[in-house]
Amino acid sequence: MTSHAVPPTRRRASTRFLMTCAVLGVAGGLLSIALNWASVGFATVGVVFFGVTIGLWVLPSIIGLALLQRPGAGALIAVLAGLVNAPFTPFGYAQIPTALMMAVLVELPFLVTLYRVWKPWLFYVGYTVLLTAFSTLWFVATDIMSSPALLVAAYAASAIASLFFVWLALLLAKRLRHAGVGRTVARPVPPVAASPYGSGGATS
Amino acid sequence: MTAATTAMIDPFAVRPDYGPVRFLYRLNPLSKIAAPLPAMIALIFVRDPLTPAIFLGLTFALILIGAKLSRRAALGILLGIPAALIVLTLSFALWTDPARTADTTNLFTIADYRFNTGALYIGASTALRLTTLAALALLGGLTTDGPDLVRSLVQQLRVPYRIGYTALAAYRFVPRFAHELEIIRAAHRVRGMAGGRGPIAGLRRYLGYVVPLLASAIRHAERVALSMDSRAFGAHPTRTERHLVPFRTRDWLFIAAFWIVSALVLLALPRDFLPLIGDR
Amino acid sequence: MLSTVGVSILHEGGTRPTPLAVDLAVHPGEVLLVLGPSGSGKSTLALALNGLVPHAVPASLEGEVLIGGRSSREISVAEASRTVGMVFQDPDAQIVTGTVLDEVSFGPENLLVPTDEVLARAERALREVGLWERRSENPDRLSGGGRQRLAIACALAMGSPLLVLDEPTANLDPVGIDEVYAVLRRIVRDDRRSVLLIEHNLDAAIDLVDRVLVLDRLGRVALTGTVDEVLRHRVDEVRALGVWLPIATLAALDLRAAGMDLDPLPLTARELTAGLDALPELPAPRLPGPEGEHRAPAVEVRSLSVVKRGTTLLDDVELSVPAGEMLAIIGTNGAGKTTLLQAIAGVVPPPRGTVTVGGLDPAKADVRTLAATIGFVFQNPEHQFLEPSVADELAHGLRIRGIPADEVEHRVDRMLARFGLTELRAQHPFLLSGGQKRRLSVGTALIAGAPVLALDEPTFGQDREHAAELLDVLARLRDEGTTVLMVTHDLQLVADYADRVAVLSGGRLLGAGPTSTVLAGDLIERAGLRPPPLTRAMRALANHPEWRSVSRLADLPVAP
Ligand SMILES: Nc1ncnc2c1ncn2[C@@H]1O[C@H](COP(=O)(O)OP(=O)(O)OP(=O)(O)O)[C@@H](O)[C@H]1O
Ligand SMILES: Nc1ncnc2c1ncn2[C@@H]1O[C@H](COP(=O)(O)OP(=O)(O)OP(=O)(O)O)[C@@H](O)[C@H]1O
Ligand SMILES: [Mg+2]
Ligand SMILES: [Mg+2]
Repeated sequence: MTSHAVPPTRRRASTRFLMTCAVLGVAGGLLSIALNWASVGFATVGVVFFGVTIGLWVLPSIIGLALLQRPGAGALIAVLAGLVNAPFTPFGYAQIPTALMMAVLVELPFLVTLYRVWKPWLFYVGYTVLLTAFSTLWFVATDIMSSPALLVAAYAASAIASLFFVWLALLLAKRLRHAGVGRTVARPVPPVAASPYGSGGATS
Repeated sequence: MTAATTAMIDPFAVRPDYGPVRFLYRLNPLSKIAAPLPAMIALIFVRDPLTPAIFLGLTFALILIGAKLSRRAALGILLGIPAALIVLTLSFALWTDPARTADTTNLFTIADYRFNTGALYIGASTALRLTTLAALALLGGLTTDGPDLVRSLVQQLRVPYRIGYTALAAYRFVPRFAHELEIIRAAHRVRGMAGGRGPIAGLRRYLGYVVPLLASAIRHAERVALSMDSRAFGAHPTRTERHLVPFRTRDWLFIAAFWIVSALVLLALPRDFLPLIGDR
Repeated sequence: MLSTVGVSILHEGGTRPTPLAVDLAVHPGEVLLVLGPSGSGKSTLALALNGLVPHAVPASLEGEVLIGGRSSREISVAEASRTVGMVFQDPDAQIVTGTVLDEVSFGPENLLVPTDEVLARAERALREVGLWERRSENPDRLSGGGRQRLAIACALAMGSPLLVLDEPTANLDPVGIDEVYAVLRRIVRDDRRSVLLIEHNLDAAIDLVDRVLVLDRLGRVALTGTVDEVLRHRVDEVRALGVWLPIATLAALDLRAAGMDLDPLPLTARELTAGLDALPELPAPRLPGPEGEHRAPAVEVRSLSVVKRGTTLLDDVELSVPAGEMLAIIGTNGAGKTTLLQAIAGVVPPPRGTVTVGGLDPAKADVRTLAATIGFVFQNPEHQFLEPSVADELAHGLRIRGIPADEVEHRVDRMLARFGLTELRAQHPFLLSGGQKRRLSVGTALIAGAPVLALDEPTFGQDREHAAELLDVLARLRDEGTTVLMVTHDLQLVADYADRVAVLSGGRLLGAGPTSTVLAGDLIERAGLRPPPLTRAMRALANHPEWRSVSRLADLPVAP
């Protein structure tokens, strides 16, 4: 065979990174199965449900971004979560468009900073604003707009819940890193240093 | 390789096929998503009960003809959807602001609360809308398996195959995840982490499972990644594909037919005889 | 074909490089065995051999790995995979597709091999490992040994002339181990294929090895040479490093110490038999005396059946374990050993009235009382870690019982010292090496001083020194009155330490009894297992009839 394999590049996502996202995607998928069924049940009691839980739907994506600190992690996890839960929920593959919307949403705070900033404040500010804004979609779909008092309460609940879920995501990411996972993918492989050929001494 | 063994490994034979009547299985997964999509988007904005009702009927017919349902699934759909419809109607009706339906007939009054026929009408519209969305989604969901969807994403939509394989790996991780959770729960229980009753204690308990569960799953995933890398995963921009999920003329026909019918229902249906109550 | 020059590898965040300055070379057609204590960097070295270090694993590599003459830094892992095929320890972590055939095709497909050729290669590889008939099955349905053979087939299908195997049989029962080695034996018969093998279990592997390389604790090359040169002539040095040796060799070393020189030093059961038969006479072995007094049972199991999702995992098991004894539960993969142990310990509550542990019914007891009565060690230690540091992990069981802080500290310190974990007290349990994790999980079970201990494969993945240490701790506790139940695949360990053995097969208890009785009978064969190497060697003796029932290393005569 004479075909040339792609030389290892630093830019391409590693298989490790992809598989880690797969795990978080599964977690997200299982979470949204529960949420989907809950939403069917809760839709009858309170339409605010979606607004309040919206942070929970993207929790694994936020964890992934905080843990891996790489462009695309959040989007990939959100899409995978959609693919995984589709066979098990009443909304099926119709959620894929929603998943894509979520995928764009979770990347936005980092996209606008060109993926240079990974500080907690960006997580808190970015997601609280975005998630609260996004919950509007659900408030429209369920006729809650007609009552201003209800609407304000719904937005407030959504903002507080979003803050809470961002806090939770950052906490879990920190614990995971402490347990030694994800850290390996977070930083790129150290550049191939021109180490002296055959000098096999200790490096520490 | 002899011809006989090659024939035995027909890549098309792995998909379930129940003959031409159960046609949904013979369609590409993407066409089963694309076909109902315009209708689903339109339904979000529709406010009358008739349009979703018509779509619900059509979808029911398609599912009953085109999908081979187990007895349980069939019962679930035939009884579950109407039941959901009734429950949702009533609860949405109760949720509706009585002021909006003040000019309709009053059914009963409890203290200050007036329950009007208008509320029932609005409740039914909302409930029908949600149920129909779910039914349209079932059309593809019942007759497609995840891996096939992923394959057609790669083959037709040109999603990079490394991403596709990530999704396939995700499907494989699902049962493992459930199993690990079971073991971790048992482990925490016997080590005396039971700690208290009630929702707060329950929530804390679940949070205690999250880190070990994710950590061990990610560990596993990293090992899988090493195994894939050492089998040249990602060596080239494409890879040999033995399982083909074709997109045929019948898929175009199905999509076209569905879209035309959707357009007819949405645009050509006379709605004047059904007043929109309480809407802006 | 493959060589390394001064290879040192430091994991990101690690403190010292293991392996350290390793030079090795694998020539066409040879089998190289790499030995070394746990933590000496064998697995890390294996990862460097096809470029996963430094391309895919965040670790820094010094020195050069030359794959077919080219430096591993210059070629991608994919390129290296044409020369070097990898088989890892965990069979589950090597499966990415839904059928056996897809799995084998995965590698060649990545290399853009045309479909016909993919299928041809897959067929050849699957026939070689005996899985061709099962090509349409889901890999999850294969046994552990079957999945490991599948992993070998996957490496073969890549067309790589060198296979690197990192403890390929660590999770397997004796039958699975034999299956894997039967396949390897067939593969190395082809003179163009070479194998680099990392293995703790030498009894199965030794007869196909050509050369041996031994690493020391720091990961340096301590010894290298042919099997004869290293394992026969410098055996004392190898032993001092704490690595496993074949049981036959260990037995022969004991005999040598007792004044019976077997020459050449036996490495396999067959050689031991031949060596002993060649001696004109032998002193009497120290066979175990009659059984001790009968004590009250600490654990009783009465007609226990466990059914999960419609399958019967345990069928009508009856078992009784006297207090202060060590019971070994053995059986093939999937026989139900873990299920039985978990039912006894109440991890998965058994049906009411079927189990009694120290006077308690785990189905009814509350969790804390139960935890105080029976300590449990899970098959996978990571499952049971609750706390963020080693010391807190050990303290957990004491704290929930409200033991005062200074007392807790004292007991934790003692336990840390006992298992050589003192340096690591602040480390996160997940970051320990495999062997250390295992010792920590055993420590958490011991620390509360529960009168009954249940351990699922406590010596798994340990080197000889640590395994011996662990078993000595357990034996001492047993002598002090603790009842020990343990599941294990290592039958020599059973022979050497257990008082009593329960043999499971397909969810049924085939039989239970004193170790010597079980080893002498045919229960082990009936369960689809193989007698431990020493028993096998002694049974085959033609000359010394009184030695034929020897099964424990401790039965061998000592220096007069
Ligand atoms: N991902 C990692 N991050 C940091 N350190 C690691 C990592 N993996 C291994 N190590 C450390 O590197 C050293 C060598 O580990 P390695 O797994 O290569 O040992 P080994 O010889 O294969 O041992 P065993 O016989 O127990 O499998 C150990 O001290 C271990 O703690
Ligand atoms: N929760 C479960 N649901 C269904 N089947 C199960 C479950 N847990 C285990 N099994 C099956 O029960 C059988 C016995 O499992 P068990 O783990 O007890 O075996 P084991 O003897 O410990 O094997 P190993 O040596 O591989 O650890 C296996 O075939 C396993 O696949
Ligand atoms: Mg290792
Ligand atoms: Mg087990």
